[in-house]
Amino acid sequence: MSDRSAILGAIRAATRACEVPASQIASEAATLVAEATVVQPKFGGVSLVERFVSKASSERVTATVSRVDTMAEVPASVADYLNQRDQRMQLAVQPTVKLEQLDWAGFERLDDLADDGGVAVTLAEYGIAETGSVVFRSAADAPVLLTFLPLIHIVVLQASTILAYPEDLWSHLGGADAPQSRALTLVTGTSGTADIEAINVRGAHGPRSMHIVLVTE
Amino acid sequence: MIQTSEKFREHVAHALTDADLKIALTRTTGLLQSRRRQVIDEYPEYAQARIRAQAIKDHTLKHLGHYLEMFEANATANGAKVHWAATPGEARRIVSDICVKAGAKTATRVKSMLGEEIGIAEALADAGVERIETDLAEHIIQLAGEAPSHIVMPAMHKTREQVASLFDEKHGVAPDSHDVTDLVASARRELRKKFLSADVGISGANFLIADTGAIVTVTNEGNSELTCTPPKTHIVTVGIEKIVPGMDHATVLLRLLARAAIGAEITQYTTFYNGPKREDDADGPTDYHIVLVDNHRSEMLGTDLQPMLRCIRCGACMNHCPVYAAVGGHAYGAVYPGPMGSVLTPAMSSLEAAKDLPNACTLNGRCKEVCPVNIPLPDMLRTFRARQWEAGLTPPLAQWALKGWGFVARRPRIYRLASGLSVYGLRLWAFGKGRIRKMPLASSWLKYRDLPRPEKGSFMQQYNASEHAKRSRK
Repeated sequence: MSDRSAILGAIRAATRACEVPASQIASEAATLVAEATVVQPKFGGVSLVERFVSKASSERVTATVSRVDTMAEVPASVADYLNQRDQRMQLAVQPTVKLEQLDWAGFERLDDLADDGGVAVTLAEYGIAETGSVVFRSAADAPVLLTFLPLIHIVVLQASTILAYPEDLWSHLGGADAPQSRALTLVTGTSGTADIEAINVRGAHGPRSMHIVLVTE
Repeated sequence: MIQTSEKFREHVAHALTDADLKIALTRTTGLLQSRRRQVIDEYPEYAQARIRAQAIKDHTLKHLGHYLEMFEANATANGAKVHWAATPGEARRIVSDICVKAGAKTATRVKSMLGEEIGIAEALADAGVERIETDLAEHIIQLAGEAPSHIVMPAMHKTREQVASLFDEKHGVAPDSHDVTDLVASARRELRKKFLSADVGISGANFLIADTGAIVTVTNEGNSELTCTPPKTHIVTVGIEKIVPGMDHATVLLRLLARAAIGAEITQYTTFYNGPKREDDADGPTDYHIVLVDNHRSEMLGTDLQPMLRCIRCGACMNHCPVYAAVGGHAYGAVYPGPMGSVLTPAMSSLEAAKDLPNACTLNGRCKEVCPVNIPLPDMLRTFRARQWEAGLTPPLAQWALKGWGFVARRPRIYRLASGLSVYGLRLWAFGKGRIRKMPLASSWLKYRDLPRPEKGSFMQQYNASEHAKRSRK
């Protein structure tokens, strides 16, 4: 007997009394997550953008946020950020049209972040107001490693893509039947660890600093 | 790891004299408790979320076969190769075979307790693969040649000073200073290149999503994505109880997991992996395997141990356990320490091999109180005590004493007489002093504490006397 049939056989034997049609199981499962507001932290009247910014820049998440009106202003805002931190004007830009088409004159473009200490600019598909998270999905123009290899991670986020809760994100993405990208990541701040004496330290393996350029348009 | 729970008493004696362990535990447990308290106070919906979380896990366990088959079908459609392993040995064989077929020389690994449970280190050694632990705590204990002592913070037993001297000795370039920040930077330097050159990446999963076939990992370090993206092969080993119906169900549990485990609203990185690299993806593994492991879980279904399968491995129970805080995780001699471990270890091995664990509990109930899925841990430990009694594993002296007490307790007149006499005896034995320091049959109890001299008369004697006094006043 294969391990598969042994395991499923043992499970069926233990749960036989519960065997009901799949449709009934599905409706029971739906009831368990109905009225999600019961378990979602309330925002107390602040807007999605305000909530997002306050969470993202909170002590627990530790991102910094700057705001611009249009996508065209993003490179200048990034330059300001790097200048203020005495960083070289060197960065990797996610190969996606919305970022590629911006004017990055004045920056030296990196195409490899294997050496430590680099800067990367990526475009988040969504923001989540509840936790101040940004959302990335892997694709041809969205390498996963761009989010994890830089020491400074600069995230471009359009205010119109900020959703309230993860539940809203799942329904925006079309639910279980929609095509799924290989990896979907909610990023909330920088790489950190508390593995030595529970002391929080940033920059464990990935970014030590995260800066979000929030675009109003 | 090799289970040594039968030596619990020896381990405890050793742990209680370990000054560094005491320092490490004192520095961490208070912080973990206060962070959890604060983030739950900021979440007024917590009580409702906990009820839902429990209901979600109970529902899924009730229909576990249905959901596992649904997951298998969806994950396979996503391009995963799904394997089933009834035992740790079978899981190790599957992992070794994959590594050998892939011609792997090195494997990076994200910490997962299931990996520890099945002995992933052994599986990789069998396949001749160098194992690179990427979680900072696992990196520390790999360098030290030790086992994890906590399910979320495997190196909780180490002080920063101990980590510093370990890194001084073992890292190619010694840390710049012994500040925790520089220790972390040193590990970053050490692991950076290894991430990018590994042949295989091995992870566990915090959740399996039945209706999409996704596996979910949560980390703060980002070592999961760095482990599961560059190598050609990604292997997931996961316990069958980690499954939930859908994304919304996982979201309810994710809110509780981060709060209970580390006192945060969410971990820094939460990733849903849906299969191997798509044809035009910029990066990702081309070969993606999921190993579903039973290891006695199906035996717990339908028994009074079923609620243990709700566990989401947050570690809150051990962070709030006075026994764990005194002896640390290694004393338990098993993969899972603390209250949840004292239930899982006998369930996954045997009552005999873990006979002291269910008794190493004060039944104070804090573990259940802080459990985000409301597992009745103290009740389950009592269940094991009862099973030990039935199996004749209770030590002869305790058996004799319990039988004697049972006989007396069912006969109120004898009970009152005996308790009255023992109070009288204890007062005599105190020789007029306020406390008792030595007494026959109680030497091990009195070794660490004194017994106050009892008040005059047993409770019933005092109660009857006061009732009598009231009546005579009327």
